[in-house]
Amino acid sequence: MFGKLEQDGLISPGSMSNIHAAAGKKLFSLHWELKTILYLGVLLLSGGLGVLVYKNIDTIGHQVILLAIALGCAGCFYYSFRKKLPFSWGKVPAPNPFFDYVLLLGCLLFITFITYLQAAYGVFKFHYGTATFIPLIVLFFSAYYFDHLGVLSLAITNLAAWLGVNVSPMTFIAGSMFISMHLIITGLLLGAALLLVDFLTHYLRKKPHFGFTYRNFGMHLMLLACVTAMFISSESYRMEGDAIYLLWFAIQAGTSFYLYREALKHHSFYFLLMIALYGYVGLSYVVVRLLLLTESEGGIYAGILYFIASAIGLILFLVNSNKKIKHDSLQ
Amino acid sequence: MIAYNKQQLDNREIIIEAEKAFRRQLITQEELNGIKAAYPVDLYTPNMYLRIGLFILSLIIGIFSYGFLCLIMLSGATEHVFGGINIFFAIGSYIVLELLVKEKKHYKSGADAAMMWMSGGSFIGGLVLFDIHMSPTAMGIIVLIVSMWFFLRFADQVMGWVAQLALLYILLINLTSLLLILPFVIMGVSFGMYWLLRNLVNQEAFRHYKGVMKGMQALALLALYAGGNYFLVRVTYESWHYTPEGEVKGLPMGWLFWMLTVVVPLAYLFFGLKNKDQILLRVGLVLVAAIVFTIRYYHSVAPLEVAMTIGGLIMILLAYGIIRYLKEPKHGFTSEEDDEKGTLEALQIESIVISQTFKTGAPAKDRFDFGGGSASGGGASGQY
Repeated sequence: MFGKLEQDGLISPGSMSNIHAAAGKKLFSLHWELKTILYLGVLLLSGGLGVLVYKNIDTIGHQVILLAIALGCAGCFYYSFRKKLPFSWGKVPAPNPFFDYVLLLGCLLFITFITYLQAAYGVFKFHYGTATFIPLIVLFFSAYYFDHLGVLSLAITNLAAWLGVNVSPMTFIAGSMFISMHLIITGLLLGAALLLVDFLTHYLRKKPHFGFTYRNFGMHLMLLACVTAMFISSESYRMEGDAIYLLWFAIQAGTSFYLYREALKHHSFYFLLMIALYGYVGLSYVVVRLLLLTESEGGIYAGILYFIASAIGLILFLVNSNKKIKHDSLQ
Repeated sequence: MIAYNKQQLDNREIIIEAEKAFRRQLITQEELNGIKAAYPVDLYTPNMYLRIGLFILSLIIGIFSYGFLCLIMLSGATEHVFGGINIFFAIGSYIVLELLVKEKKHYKSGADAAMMWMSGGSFIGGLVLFDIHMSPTAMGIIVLIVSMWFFLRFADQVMGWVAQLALLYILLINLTSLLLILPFVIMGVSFGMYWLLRNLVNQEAFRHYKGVMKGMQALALLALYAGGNYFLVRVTYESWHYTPEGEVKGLPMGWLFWMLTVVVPLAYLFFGLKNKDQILLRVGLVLVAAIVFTIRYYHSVAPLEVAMTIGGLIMILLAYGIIRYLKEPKHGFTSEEDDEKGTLEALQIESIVISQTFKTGAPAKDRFDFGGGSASGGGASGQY
């Protein structure tokens, strides 16, 4: 193929010899396979040890296992401290292919260790919060000190768990994460706080590449909180007046507007799509609620036409936004 | 046969190769621009997120249009009327699909996939409504024909898979009486599919199906393994084979299927490494997990948590050993990543990645790392 391009004068002979040379020494890469095995191995090992300790909680063997976990964890952190590149507030690359996995294993083992201490010996007595708070500190410290995005995600998840909100990807999918108003408010505030951290991350230029992770979690928490609040408003909050969902819709609209501007700033179509879909669900809910007020057959027709028209509108919006982002990025 | 302008598809292929060469710094920016100007591509393939969005929204539009149609026709609601609506809807969405491809130059844009699914689904649904007592075989054949058509015309990955599965399904339900011969029929047919696809991939005439056919190879390999897997064979056998005394337990010639269960993935791995075939290698790796699960199901060697711990340890050490060993590339293997996004390419997600990288100079920093949340842990600072 490149031969033809050369004949057409599109590729210089110099580049052509480059291409030939590269084709000659082309290697078969096992990178992806090895990394996947390594990652699964880390997950299996830390998970297996966690269950092992839990199952043997009443036997003599558990102290041995506990010791093994402690040693493994200490070993991982020792390795991380030894090998790490000098700290900076910018992006620090990993010194070798194993570094990230060793650190991840260390952090996972540490969580197991603390949880186990609490469960078996009640080290933290009745301060259950402390048992999750200590790993939290260690996780955030590790994420920043060793520059590890995965550990940062782990830390944010733990922070949410500490506050009582469950934010694992599975619960996002199941859509069952908020059950009470209390949790919704917590989620909303935590999401707002994460967005603030994202803003500060860029503003103060402290690890700006962490911003995406904060923004991602913050966006999902806030928008999901708003949408869920609207949906449960039709069940349990009728007492407080019927229009409470409009308030949530207003909050969602405001958040979405902020996130929309951020998405354009960072040229991220992923955020645009998410905002648009959450927004679509929210808007549709409001429209359907309003149409239900009419209590007529025309309402059903209007509703169907609304869905067709709004989806077309949203497609146009997304396609145009995509062009805008692409265009901006070429500057 | 294929709906797209072949010249456009070829140009696209050239640009993709040139982009790769540019990323590996084999050609200069000017040369790349020159190639892009000489081989223009006006196919519409947006980035992955827009594709997902277009897919969902097109489905919403389609479903509500369908609802609207039904609502209008509600008065004469017999099965035949509904069948008619379905067929009408299928034809309508097919016309839209053709227009999208011909006029708007959509190429794997998400909207076209949505139209394909709605058109095919409502067509088959309509036929079923006309003949409620259709036999499963007839259903299977209709699905096979429809998905085959979409596959050939639009080179769609999922439709290709559906066609393969429909073929296997037809065999499965018609050859139930063969009992223990059936696994070998399935394996033979799957191997035939794999062999055929492997040969067709390199044919000039089928170059536009290249990526899709690689994905179909993977499915053929999986089906081949499933045909001989001890667990699957035994469960199917027990559910089909009745005697006057009731259900039969156990499996005759069990040793043969145990052997197939263990040997087939290892053979995949061996040939994958020997021929440097990424598809064989990866399917083989996935199936190693299937060996473990199958054995564990019948013979509990160790409690789950012990197995997890030991297995995890072995995997870490194995990967560590190989990466160490390949520090200097040996036998044409390397543990370094190469520019060509291997799996992604094989599984036809390639076009997405390419379309992402098409945006020259676009920062990739905000590309969402799938497996998000706490699961995005590993290799977070490694470039994937």
